Amino acid sequence: MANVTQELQNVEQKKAEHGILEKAKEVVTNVARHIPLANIMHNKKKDTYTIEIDLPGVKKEDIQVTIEGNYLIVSAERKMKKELKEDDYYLLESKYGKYYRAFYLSDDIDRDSIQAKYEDGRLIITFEKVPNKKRKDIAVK
Amino acid sequence: MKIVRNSYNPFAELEALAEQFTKVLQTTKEEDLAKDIAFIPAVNTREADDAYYIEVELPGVKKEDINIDIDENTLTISGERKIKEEHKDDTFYKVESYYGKFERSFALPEDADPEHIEAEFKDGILEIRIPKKVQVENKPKKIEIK
Repeated sequence: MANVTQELQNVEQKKAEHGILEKAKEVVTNVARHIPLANIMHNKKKDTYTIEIDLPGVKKEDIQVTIEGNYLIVSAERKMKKELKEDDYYLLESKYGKYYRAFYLSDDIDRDSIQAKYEDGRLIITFEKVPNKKRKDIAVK
Repeated sequence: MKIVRNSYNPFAELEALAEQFTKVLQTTKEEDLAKDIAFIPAVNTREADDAYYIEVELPGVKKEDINIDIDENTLTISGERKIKEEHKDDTFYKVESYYGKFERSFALPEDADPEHIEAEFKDGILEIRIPKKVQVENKPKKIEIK
């Protein structure tokens, strides 16, 4: 009899330990962030800056773009399809979870000109130069 | 008395390596080298009750630049990530994505039905669904003894 209660207690304890472990895993995955790949280009003729950020498999509504001080901050979350878990995959090379990346904005970038669109798994952000710093072509008379 | 000529050869390993190298070069087809592949996309594969699924990460690739081919039991996904027309003259400050051609091949399982493959490209992910062949029930036949 004593053995049975002992065993039950052990099971209960194991369950509790497992619960803590699961909770810890959840916390860690929420904090851990992936860094998405980015391309930055500048068009000298139009004086525009473009930042492309690769976010394949992310839903548009799970992307946040903010400007804080001199930084452009992009955060996103790539969620696995509801009905699926990691164990359902034979091969899983994609990274799921949180994505985060910050870009420093120099003084000549016009913050108000920001435009963002999501297209083919890529977030495309464009900026214009501050109007009085824009390139000017002067006609020679 | 036998004369054992098994003296120490300091170049043995190098010779073996050179031999391996020539073998590899001989077996590599010229057409493979000419393909000029820039990157291999990340892939996820899974199996459901009625089909196999392959997901290929292709952000920034246009749908019309992706090809899916089946040759006997091999499914090949290939294509190219091109620089957009509007950025052709841009100065690139940072390029972390790979541009150029990509290719990845998969051996299909025996019960895959290559005739009914479906593919969808959404949010930079190409999802290919390969249905399983409907199994003809193969019950053991019992023969009555008269």
